[in-house]
Amino acid sequence: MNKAGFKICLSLYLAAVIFLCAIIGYIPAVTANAATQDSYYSDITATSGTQLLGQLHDIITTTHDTYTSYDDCKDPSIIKKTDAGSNSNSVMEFYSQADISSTWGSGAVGTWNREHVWCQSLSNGMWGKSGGGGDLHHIRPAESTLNSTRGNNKYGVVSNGTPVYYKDSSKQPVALGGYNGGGTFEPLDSVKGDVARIVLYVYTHYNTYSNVYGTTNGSGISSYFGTLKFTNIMDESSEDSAIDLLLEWNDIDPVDDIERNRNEAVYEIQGNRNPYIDNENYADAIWGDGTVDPQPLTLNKTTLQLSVGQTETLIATTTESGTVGWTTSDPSVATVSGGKVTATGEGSATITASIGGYSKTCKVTVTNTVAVDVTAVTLKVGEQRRVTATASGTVTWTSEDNSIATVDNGLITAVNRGKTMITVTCGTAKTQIAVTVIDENAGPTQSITISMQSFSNVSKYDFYEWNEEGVSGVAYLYKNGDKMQFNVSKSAYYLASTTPMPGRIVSVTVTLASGEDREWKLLTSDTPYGEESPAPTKGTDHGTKTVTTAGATWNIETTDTYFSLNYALVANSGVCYLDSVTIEYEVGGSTPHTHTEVTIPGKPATCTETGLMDGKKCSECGEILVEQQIIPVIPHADNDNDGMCDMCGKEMSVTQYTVTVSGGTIGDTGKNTAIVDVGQSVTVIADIPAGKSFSGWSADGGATFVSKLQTYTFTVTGDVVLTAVYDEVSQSTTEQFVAAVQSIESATGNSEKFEAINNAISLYNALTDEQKASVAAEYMQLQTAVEQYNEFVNDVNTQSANALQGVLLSTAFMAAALAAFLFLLEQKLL
Amino acid sequence: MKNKFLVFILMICLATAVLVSGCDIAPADAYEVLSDMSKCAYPSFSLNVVTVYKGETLSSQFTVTNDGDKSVVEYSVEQLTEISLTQPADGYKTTISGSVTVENGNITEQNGESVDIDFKQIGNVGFNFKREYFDTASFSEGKFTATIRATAQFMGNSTYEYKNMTVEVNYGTAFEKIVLSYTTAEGATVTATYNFG
Repeated sequence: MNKAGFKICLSLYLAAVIFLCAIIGYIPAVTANAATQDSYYSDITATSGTQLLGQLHDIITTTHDTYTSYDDCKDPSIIKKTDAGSNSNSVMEFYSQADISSTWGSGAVGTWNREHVWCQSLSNGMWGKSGGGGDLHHIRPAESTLNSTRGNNKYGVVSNGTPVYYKDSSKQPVALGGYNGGGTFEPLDSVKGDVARIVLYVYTHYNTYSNVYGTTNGSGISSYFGTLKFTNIMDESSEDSAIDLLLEWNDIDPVDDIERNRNEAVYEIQGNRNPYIDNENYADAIWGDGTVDPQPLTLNKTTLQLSVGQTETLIATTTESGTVGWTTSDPSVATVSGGKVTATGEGSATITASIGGYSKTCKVTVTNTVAVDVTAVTLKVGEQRRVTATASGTVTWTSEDNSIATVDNGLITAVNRGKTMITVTCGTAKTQIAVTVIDENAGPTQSITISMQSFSNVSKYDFYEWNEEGVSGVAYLYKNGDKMQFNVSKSAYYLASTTPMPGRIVSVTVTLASGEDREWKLLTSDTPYGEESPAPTKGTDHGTKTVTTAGATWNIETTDTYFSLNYALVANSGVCYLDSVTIEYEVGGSTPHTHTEVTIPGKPATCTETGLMDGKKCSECGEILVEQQIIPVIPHADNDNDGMCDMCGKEMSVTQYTVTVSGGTIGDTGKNTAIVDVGQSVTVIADIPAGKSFSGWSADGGATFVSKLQTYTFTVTGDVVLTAVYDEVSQSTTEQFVAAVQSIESATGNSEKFEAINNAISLYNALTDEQKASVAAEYMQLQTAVEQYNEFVNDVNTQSANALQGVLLSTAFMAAALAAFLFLLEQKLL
Repeated sequence: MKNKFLVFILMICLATAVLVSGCDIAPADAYEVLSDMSKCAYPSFSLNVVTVYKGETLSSQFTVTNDGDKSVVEYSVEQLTEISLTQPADGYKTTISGSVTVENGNITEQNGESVDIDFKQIGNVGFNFKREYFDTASFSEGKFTATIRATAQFMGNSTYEYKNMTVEVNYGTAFEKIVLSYTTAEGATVTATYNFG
């Protein structure tokens, strides 16, 4: 038998022995002893060792809601609850368990003091007057003499030690509190368990945990507990002997009602418990050879965060037989089936797993999600852009400023130059898209910023002139450091320009320096403002905005070059401190106006030149409103039969033909009609419009092409009419997409529906933004179809995954005792 | 002396193996034979699971190879493909494949594509063949067929609800083939075929 085989055999033997021993009761089951543990320790799944220690650490730290201070540990209102003595004027002294006057003595003999059971000086700096140094589970009242006599001696066993007494104010011994000897302090036997359980609590709570994984309740395991060592506080040569002594003290002095009551009292204050008092078997289970019973029912999670439509499966582990039942407190928020939680709507719900009279809950919080495919867009005035939102529910779209850009179900339309935000909302979830609208016709913008620096010699509330980069104005204000101070005490508080801005005003931004947000009104005019009281009211009213330290901006469309910012005319109260006023103006560019149409006269075609139809343009800005259409060259005519063209006089003896092209030009003439002598070579060039593709030159206007070359040269043998044929790319692709979406509905079978949807997506992704905008309604149908299809897919896949999981759960025999079986088989032992 | 000690240990092991295994022992109760077989360790086996739900048939294969405390599970799981609005999908069904190494209940290595199955749960449970778990049961030579009443107890877990469960076992000195069929609470029909060899 080789070494590995021997190990396997031995393991099997030991396993069998343990199994048999368990059956006949050689290993006594250790059970929890406090009903209160059921809820507090419900997440404990480990039964022994460092995993149990890690889980206890998780519980007592995460439930430690209130960290009391070192001062709290002498607060009479707290001490009365935690360490009450036999009467209302006494507290229980820790080491002697005797009454002591409740009067706080701060060190006087016969009065009590605060005792760190695990001395601060032996904590490796882990606590001072907070944290472990203010934990009521740890700090205990001790008579001052006894406390100072124990000092920072470690705990241990003392031979022939000196008795240490709790003494009264006349220094007479009142009660024995322990023994000192050789720098070691040994508590009374009746207190040793108390000391041990406090030391274990402190170690479990405040040690430095390294290498912890799964730190949430239930799976915390620490392979290394760093800073605190039991030998820090126990006068023993090794950790093993230190813990042995603590386990011995835990055994010889069992938990009593004093400890239990105190544990409850501290729990009420701090929110956490000393687990070694609740279950004195924990110590032996962690550091000794004992175990504690596993929980009859646990859930792998106590909270879940899901978005609408999302699913997650809770796993219940139970020692009970039967099937775990699942319920939800609110199916409109979350449903549950076999542990699988499906988020159905926003809100909170409680999922309950039950079996054999036990139940566990998991709080589910459901929110919506919404995301967009773009977070910032820049558009020209009049331009549109469709934004796609991916959300867990119905989406609403709103624009903060419809004068800049509007939005309709994801289709953003740029209205005027400026900036605004589009908000996309799904339930409580929302996201935003920053929209910048530019005006191609506009010139560049510049700005001036007016601040207190723009004024001089301001000494009281009065009218003052401001000057900034060649622009001047007036304001009725006062100076407050660097702030412009306005008030409501006089109706003249305003700030206006008296000379024109270099261009039309496009925006005004006012920023508060400090103080409360205030209302300001903006007026603009094409004539100057001046010193006026009350404040001026002339011009165009651009409304009132609330000015904050983040600034408020009026984006305006005007030709005005003067402004007035008015404080006094708005319903404000009190002083307003402004940091700055920034005026943005346009330099050059076209001024917004209503076009005035005038006719561009056309001219008739001749036999040698093409003509032009009438067009239209704006008389103010010159913008072409109606393009002039070309009139083809007309044929020569020789009505008087003199051999000459009646119009141009050209000799008609040479046979000539007319070449007419549509959708292109003849050579580099820029014309689309020419009279050409027979036999002459002519080149026509197709003028391919944007967004279209050239198919060929057609002589019959149909799909029969004489050439597919964009530049086509031929010899004239007769009258020629050529039409450049272009593929209506955008049109046909759009139609294909619409047809594809319509085909989804009629698809039979899921695979056919899959193909139809996939085809529609491919077609949609190939569309231009403009084309996408034109098929918004069909795209919505596609989105709905995808959502419904994916719901179906998710349902089928989930059922399949659950089925696989269910089968795999019962496939353990493949892994269990394989090595042993193989070995025995190879050795022909089986 | 050393050899004698080893012989002694070996004898104890044999005795213990008889108590806890029974893989080549013929117990009086045929159900115990099957239960013992499900406790045996098989060096390798394959598992084919076919799920039919809402007209869709999805098939998955697992090949399990055991080596000491380590099990290597090679998987190939078929799923319907989700559709993305931004990227057309490649095919109606997607096959996810890879392998997982499980040691002492922990996944120590995973290669290939991720699949939403908790491989760590493969442990500590197995089929339980007890007379009272079955409604109808019949033994013929090397074959056991049954309809199962106590599905959770038979499967060794109560995480999922199993209905209309039947099992067909071919066996010799150990399992040769197991075909397990059932319906889930949601109506999916599942056929799991184990081949040992």
